[in-house]
Amino acid sequence: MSHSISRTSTAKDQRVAPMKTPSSSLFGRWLGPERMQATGVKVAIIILFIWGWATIDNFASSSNLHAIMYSVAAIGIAAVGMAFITLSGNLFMLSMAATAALSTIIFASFLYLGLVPALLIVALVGLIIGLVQGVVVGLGGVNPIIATIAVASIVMGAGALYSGGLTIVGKGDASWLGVGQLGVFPNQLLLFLVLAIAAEFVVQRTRFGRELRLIGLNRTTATLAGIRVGRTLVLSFVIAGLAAAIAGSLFASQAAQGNLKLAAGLDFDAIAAVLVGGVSIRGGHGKIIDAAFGALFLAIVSNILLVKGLSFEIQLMVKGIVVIVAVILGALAVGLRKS
Amino acid sequence: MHTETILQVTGLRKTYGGIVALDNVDFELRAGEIHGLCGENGAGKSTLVKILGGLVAPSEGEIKVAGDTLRPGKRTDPRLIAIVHQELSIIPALSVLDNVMMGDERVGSIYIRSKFAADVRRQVDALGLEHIDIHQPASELSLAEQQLIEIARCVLRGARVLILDEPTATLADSEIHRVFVAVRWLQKQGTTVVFISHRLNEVFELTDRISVFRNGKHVLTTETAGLTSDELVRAMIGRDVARRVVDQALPDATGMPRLRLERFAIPGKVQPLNLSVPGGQIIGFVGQLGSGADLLVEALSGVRPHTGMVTLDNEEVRIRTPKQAIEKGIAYVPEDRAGKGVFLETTVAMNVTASILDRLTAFGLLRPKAEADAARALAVRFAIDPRRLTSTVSQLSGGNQQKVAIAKAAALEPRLLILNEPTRGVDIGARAEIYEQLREMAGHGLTIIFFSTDFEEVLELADRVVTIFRGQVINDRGVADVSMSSILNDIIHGPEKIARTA
Amino acid sequence: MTTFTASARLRLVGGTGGALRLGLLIVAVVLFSLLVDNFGTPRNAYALFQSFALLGLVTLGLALTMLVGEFDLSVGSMVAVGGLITLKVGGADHLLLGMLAAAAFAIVVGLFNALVFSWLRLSSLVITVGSMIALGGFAYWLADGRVINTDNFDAGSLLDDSMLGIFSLRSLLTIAAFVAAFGLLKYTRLGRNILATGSRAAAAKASGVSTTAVYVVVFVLSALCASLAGSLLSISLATASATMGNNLLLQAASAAIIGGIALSGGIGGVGGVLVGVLILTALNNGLGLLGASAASMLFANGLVLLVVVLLDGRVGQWLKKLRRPAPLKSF
Repeated sequence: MSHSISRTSTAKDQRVAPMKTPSSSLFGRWLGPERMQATGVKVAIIILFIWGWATIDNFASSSNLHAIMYSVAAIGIAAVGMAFITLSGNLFMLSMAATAALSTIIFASFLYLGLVPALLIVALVGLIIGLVQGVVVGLGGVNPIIATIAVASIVMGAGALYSGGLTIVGKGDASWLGVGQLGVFPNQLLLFLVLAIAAEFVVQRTRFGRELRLIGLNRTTATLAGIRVGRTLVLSFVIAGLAAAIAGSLFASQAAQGNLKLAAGLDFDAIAAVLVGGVSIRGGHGKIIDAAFGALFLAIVSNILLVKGLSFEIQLMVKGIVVIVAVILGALAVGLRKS
Repeated sequence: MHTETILQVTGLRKTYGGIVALDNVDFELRAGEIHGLCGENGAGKSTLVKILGGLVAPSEGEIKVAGDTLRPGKRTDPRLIAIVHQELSIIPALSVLDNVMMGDERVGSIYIRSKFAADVRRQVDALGLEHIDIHQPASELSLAEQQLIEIARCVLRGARVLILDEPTATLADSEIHRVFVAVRWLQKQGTTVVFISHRLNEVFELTDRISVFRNGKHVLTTETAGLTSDELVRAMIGRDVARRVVDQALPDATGMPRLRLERFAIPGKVQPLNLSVPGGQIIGFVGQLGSGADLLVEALSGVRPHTGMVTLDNEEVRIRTPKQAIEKGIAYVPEDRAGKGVFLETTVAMNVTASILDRLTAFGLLRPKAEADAARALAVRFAIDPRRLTSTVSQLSGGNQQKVAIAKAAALEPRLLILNEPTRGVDIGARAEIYEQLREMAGHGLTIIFFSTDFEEVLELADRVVTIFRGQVINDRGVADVSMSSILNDIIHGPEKIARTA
Repeated sequence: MTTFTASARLRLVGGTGGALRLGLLIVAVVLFSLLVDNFGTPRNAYALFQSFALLGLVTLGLALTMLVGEFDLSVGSMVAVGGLITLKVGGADHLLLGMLAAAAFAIVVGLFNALVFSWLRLSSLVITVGSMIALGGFAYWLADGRVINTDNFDAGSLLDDSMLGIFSLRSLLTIAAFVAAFGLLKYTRLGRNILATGSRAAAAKASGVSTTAVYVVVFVLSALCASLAGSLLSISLATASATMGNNLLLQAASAAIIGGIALSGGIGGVGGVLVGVLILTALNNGLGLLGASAASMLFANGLVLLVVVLLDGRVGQWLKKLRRPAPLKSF
């Protein structure tokens, strides 16, 4: 059939911009403007780790490494869920902290039924909260930021009403999730890894994931191409809600109690992880696994700041600055890509 | 009558790269006249207007207004030349008064509206808008009224020359009358008006002199009174383009039609029409801006609401959304490929498979091999270099991008393919490839409906040409029975031809 | 001369939407007065206006950013930071200096938000999320894990002593801010430019409006309003904490949207915002009197915002269809 790819067409192709290195080459895959930030974060993780190991006492000690692993697990799961929202072009879900907070309470309340049933109930709650937002934003066309702020308050209010602001101590054994380990790795971390890899797989290899990405790239084109926009967006919110709920369970199991304050700052952490990891705010660009690496990067940064004795407050500020810098760098990279 | 020259253009030339947009143009406006400016798309009218407005600098040539030479490339003082563009710069949330005063230097940091109310009121009344409240938001006005507000704005600032670019293109009959009244009033005030329009009957009715541009050259200026419609049309398109030799017979029209439209209408835009299209036929819809021809193809794709019955292969179908249309085998290639037709920032492969993901999925999972095979097959079919499958679409030329858009739609193996401006902004080589591909698909039984403002394209590609004027079908003929001038006549005159004797 | 006083009168109230809003406020006030003990007392009116003083100022600033079609998510955090800076710098004796320091910081933040937004051309939602997070962290750092107090209770009294029985200096300041904003939007070219930019930025720019200047003004004012509100609140309470701004963003967004400010930009006015804020403060005040816990109020506020924003979308579209011009009369 090669004669129909006539001389005319390739000649014309060459008349146009020289064929850029196809992104399947190693260079394009890792260092081209598209993947620059994601690769940069991975490099930064390695550098930071080595630097920490070299310059900080006990950085590589078992207890410190465990601290890092625990801190990355819950936030990483939330970040992975948030990435679904960002990839589809809906910016962020600002109700993750609230959903997680409510989940800690529900988890503790139902722990007496056993770990797995409690998890299932929490998952159901997260699913419903996500579903409501998905319908409002995906089908109702409401601005995602405002809608999720509103739902956050509803959920937080509901949680406060239910718990009366008190801590709920679970009557059951959550230690498998809370402190359990497989070898040297906490079960929480393994759960995070499994979920992150599963999420990455879903986005890269399923129809839903492909449609999600296309919607994020250009919603109008996606609609005209017959992609099931409403359904996909609803599902993305359901997944994010689930992720927040699971993150909440992790917090609760670790603290062995349910308390609304346990999830404070989760929104910010998840957003920071997503943006730093290289998932573009515009939607359609980036991989889920990038968010996971972003979470890891931020966990190491937090840990280093903590070990160096810097306060929690400084960590928060650093996170905010990191978000801003990541956004700016990301926008500059877009400029690079376009030139 | 009008003898003093207010605008003098000498030796104007503008080239963009290798393309000559204006070629040694001499042009003159007489003070106080209403001067019509006619020409096909691409004839040079809009380039001339941009240069007169100072938005673009000419490559050569000089412009004098009221004796002063204009500085090339510098925004022209709106008190000398003001332009009312097709896309209005009305700000909907602001009041009529605010819009009229927009950009006026007399508005200081403190803006007391009552100071200007009297002047604005007077100006607006003079243009026939006594019934509107100058404090109401401009969004509440009709398009015609907004147009007149734009004009009021230019006049209040005191324009010597006012250029109206297609002012009546999207207006209803009753509204057009208002614009006429306004233009005649302007003339009485001493303003010189340039009236750019495809609506030849309006040009004849309103203007004192008419100028025609063709292929970047100024070919004619004469008194309107002595000109016939035929002479004008001939000046606009030059020789008649040779009709395409059609040696293949129209596809077999017996048997079941592929598409049947009954009382198909777009409320307010397109009157009910009936149409029957056999399989394998290529139909071109042609019409000016505002005729509804482009809206028709949108409606058939499920993008625009419509009424009436649509039957596809003897099955009545509902196509209220793009998804529904696709489910019934109707694929659409929109006119704005960057914004709607392709996913610019991802690969060609991801683009062409976007509509057929269901076919490449098993148990929810994409099948990479099936996807790669499908992408490759589509690339080959549409003359896209398969090595480009992994390239980002934004890196491709316009022609290749359009091929991607068409491939994406064709992947659906539709029964009906609808294209809106199939090769806008596409180079000749890619154009030919696209036409070849479309004809081949038609040869296999695909029915193709397209809308185009490019007559050469219509004559080249279509088997059948449907001309539309103000929402009405004027003519529906095989391509062998039409010519460029017949198409032009249909879409600018509509059902009545103006009888003008020399 | 043609008379159109009917439509002009309607427009004074803010159109059909404005009339509905005003009606809603009146209904809410009447209902609560009848059903809830103590609602209609001067003492409660004072409490209501004290809430209004805080929420009104913050909402005003946010509404300005919404008028240009953007959104400043960092207002809540800015309130906290404003209060903390005021007390930290002002101590007990130099509260005015503290306020000025907070204002100066707010100007910097507003400039940052506006310029990065203009430069990167990203949604302001994204930029201000970053600011919100950074300011939140900054607030925690300033507070250093505790609350900051001041010994100067006189300043607080100055601000809060009741005037005319129901107002205070603080609420009057907020009302003054509303009047100033009204004047800005209605009687200055800048105000017209703000609305023009929100309605159709491209056309505004083509007519010579500097949209960058507009964005700078709007984001700086938003930060200033929030900072000022925080300063005044912390002086009044004689204490500042990092959580002072919690829930304010939520309420301000609700109040603005109820107040008729469209999320899309260009639509809405100061009068509407005033009514919106009053509706929300009345609601929360009434709920408080009914014994609702902070949790229920949070729940209710969230629900209100969700409902309002759903309606803003659907009902807004429906209203627009009704408002389409009538077919032309024949000439």
